[in-house]
Amino acid sequence: VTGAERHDERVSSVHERLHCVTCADEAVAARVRTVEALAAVVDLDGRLERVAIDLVPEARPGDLLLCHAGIALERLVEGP
Amino acid sequence: VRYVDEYRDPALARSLAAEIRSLVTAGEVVRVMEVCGGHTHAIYRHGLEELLPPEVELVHGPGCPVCVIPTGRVDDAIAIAETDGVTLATFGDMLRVPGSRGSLLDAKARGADVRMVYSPLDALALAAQEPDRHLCFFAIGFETTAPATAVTLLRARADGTPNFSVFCNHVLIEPPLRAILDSPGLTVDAFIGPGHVSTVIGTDAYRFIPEEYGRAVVVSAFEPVDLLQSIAMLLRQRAEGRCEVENQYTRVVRREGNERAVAAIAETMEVREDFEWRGLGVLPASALRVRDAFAAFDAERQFALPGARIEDPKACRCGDVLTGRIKPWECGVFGTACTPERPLGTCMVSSEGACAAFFSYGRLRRPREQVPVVG
Repeated sequence: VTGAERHDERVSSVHERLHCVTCADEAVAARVRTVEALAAVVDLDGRLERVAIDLVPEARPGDLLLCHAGIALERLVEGP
Repeated sequence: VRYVDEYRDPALARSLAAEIRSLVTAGEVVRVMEVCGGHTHAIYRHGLEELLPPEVELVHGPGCPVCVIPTGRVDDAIAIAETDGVTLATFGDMLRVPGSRGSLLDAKARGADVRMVYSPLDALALAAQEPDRHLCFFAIGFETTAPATAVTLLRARADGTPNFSVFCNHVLIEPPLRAILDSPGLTVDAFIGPGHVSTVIGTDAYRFIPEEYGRAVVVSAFEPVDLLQSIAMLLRQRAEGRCEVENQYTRVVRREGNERAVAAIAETMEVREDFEWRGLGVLPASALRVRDAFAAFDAERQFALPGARIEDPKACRCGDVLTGRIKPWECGVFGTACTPERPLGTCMVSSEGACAAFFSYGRLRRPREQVPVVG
């Protein structure tokens, strides 16, 4: 699901979001479900989304990714 | 997956607060600037100032990407949006930023095709879905967001998308920090460094702060325990006579950053001679533009833009808020003429803006006579 389909849902939910849409001020960590060519399907608060993994091509199912503006920026090391 | 519980543990937060109290000297105020708007938001949202002794004063920095965009660039975006056959897409918060003739939402109400997206890749997908329209993405943000725009430009070129462009307003974190550090009467003693910008550029990028300006930096994550730990780390540096860049956000930030992200930015964008910042004026080499190799996707070359430099409303003191000279509630229009519903200045627009964050979470904690409260 990309683009316009997601757009409508997001317009309606924008006021419910607690963090800024431009800068992801919370660590928006998402667990990778499956990996495709240059994209991963991640679980973001129970919602499945596709993020680009051009910058984190080593991402594998089970990894936690820091996601921002539709792309994964980095893998998270788990545990405090 | 929220992945935050352990970073909101009240017992841990209390023990860190106790450590912070043990590290301050009575009556000796340490002013700590949190550079990133995300930190500002978290500090107000979680009431962290309540946990700190009066000797630790938090000063809000310039790191809200929406807040630093000047009025003239909003007007340029509106001019693009009002061009026949053009759809302008951008992040939600940018839709409400006031230009000199209203916001992008006002332009939409007048008939312009303005849409909200969460990713520049979504804007590129819209261009593919609607080949008869030109799709321009109004790109803003620090080094956190620039990689997404870079990846989008690379894909647009690979796909040969003919009807897509980027209006590039990406800014860099170092120049505003230098501007603040160079400003006369600087009273900031230490910095909480941005977390997600550092994911991209790495922690070494801040070494100039201790080395040239003698101020400590701790790169921090965004949860309450993270921020308290970062403040404790800064105070420990002072107590031990150290002054260096430390990394609290080790679960994601590396010293060298993400080289792939840096390379993608460098391939698609280059540093401008200068760029106007709200509140900070024109800063040399402080922003990015689209490289010649991607000229076909550069809105600044595709459209005739007004490019005007427009003064902020006189009553608006966003510039003073962004540079830490005043607190949000010290602005004369805070909470009266300027509210999140009808923002006058950018700091009231984004939830990361110091004024919006204070309006949402902090204003009721201050005596009424200090804070005008409406709505």
